[in-house]
Amino acid sequence: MNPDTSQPVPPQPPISISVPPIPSEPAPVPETPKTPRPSPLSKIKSFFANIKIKKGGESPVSPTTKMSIKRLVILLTAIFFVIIMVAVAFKLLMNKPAVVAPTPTPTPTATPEILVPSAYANDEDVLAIEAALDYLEGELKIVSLRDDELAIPLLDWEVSFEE
Amino acid sequence: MMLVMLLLTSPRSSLAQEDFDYTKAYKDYVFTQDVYQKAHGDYLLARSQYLDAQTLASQTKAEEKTIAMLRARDDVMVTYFTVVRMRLAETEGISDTEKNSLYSRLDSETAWFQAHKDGISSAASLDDLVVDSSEAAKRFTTIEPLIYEVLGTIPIGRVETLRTSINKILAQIKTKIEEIRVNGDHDTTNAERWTIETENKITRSLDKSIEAQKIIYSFQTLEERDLRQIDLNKEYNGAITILQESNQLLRESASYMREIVKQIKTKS
Repeated sequence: MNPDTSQPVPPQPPISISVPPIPSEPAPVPETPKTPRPSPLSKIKSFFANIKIKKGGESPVSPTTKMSIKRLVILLTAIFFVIIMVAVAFKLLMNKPAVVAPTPTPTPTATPEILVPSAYANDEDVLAIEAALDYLEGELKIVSLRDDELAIPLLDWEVSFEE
Repeated sequence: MMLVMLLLTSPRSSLAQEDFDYTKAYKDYVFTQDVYQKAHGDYLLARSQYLDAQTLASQTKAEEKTIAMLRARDDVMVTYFTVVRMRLAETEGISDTEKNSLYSRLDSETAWFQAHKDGISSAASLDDLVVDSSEAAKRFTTIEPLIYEVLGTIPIGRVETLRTSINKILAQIKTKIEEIRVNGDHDTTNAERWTIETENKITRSLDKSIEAQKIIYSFQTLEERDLRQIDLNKEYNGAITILQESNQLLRESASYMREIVKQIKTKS
């Protein structure tokens, strides 16, 4: 009923609306149930589970796989130790005290003594004394107090004809 | 060798003294040592062959080689005494009295070994030769103190000569200092102080020489039984060490005198 008019609305023929056909959507593919992607931890767990020997049964892992596992373990252990060694060596090198380049110690240079000659600098007697001292000092240096060439001769004093 | 004999027969002849010196005596000594070394080698070989074979021929050869070795050994001793004597003669700083005393004893030993050599008979048996050798060996033991005494007296003389020279120069310095002091134109205070220090060094050097001399002279009084207990070589080396200290003090005194000369030559 129209609220503005109080007259009843005559019945109207039905309206037909042609609707273009809607392209049918592709039929939904029935979804396969998704299996959860295994985490690395679960992989390792399953890996080790596989190698467990069942009680009373044979190992599910082939001997070839076993060998490769052993090799892998050995290789990993070796790598681990090498890393440790490298780390220790590195630490030692880092802790090594730095080489200090020697710096030359300054050699003290004596300031030249300024000598003012006296009135006796060229005195004959003084010069004669100086010359005598030169000679004497030379003699004191070369004097030999031990005549090694005059050491007592080593001779065989034990003459006998008995065995 | 002829020169050695000439010297021994007339030791104070002017001809011998002119022609024969330490260098020639030493050459003779080295020559006789070479002869001895060869003779000793021959003796050892002949002895060994005799002990192995015990034949008359090997015995004769052993006697022959032993005689040669014993004579060569005596020659070494004779030339050794001669060379030591010449060294003593050429060393200054030893009194004539002391030298003559040592000459006399050395000549006595030279004569003994010469006589011993001449006394070795060419017809001696091996037993005789063993006795001859033992006599020389015994004599050698008793003369060791004399040899060390001579070897010790020579450096004492050398140090004494140097000390005399130093005293002479010091006396000249003191005279000069006194002259300068009287003139009054140069300060001599420091030089005089250095003079006293120099004298102290010389006195200490003299004390060291006396100490060494006591050791060397003590060899004269050693008896045969003492020789078994005492190490003469060690005693001799000890005396030489003391003499080296004495010489070092002389060197220090010389450097002090050098300082005195510097004080005189420069204004303070």
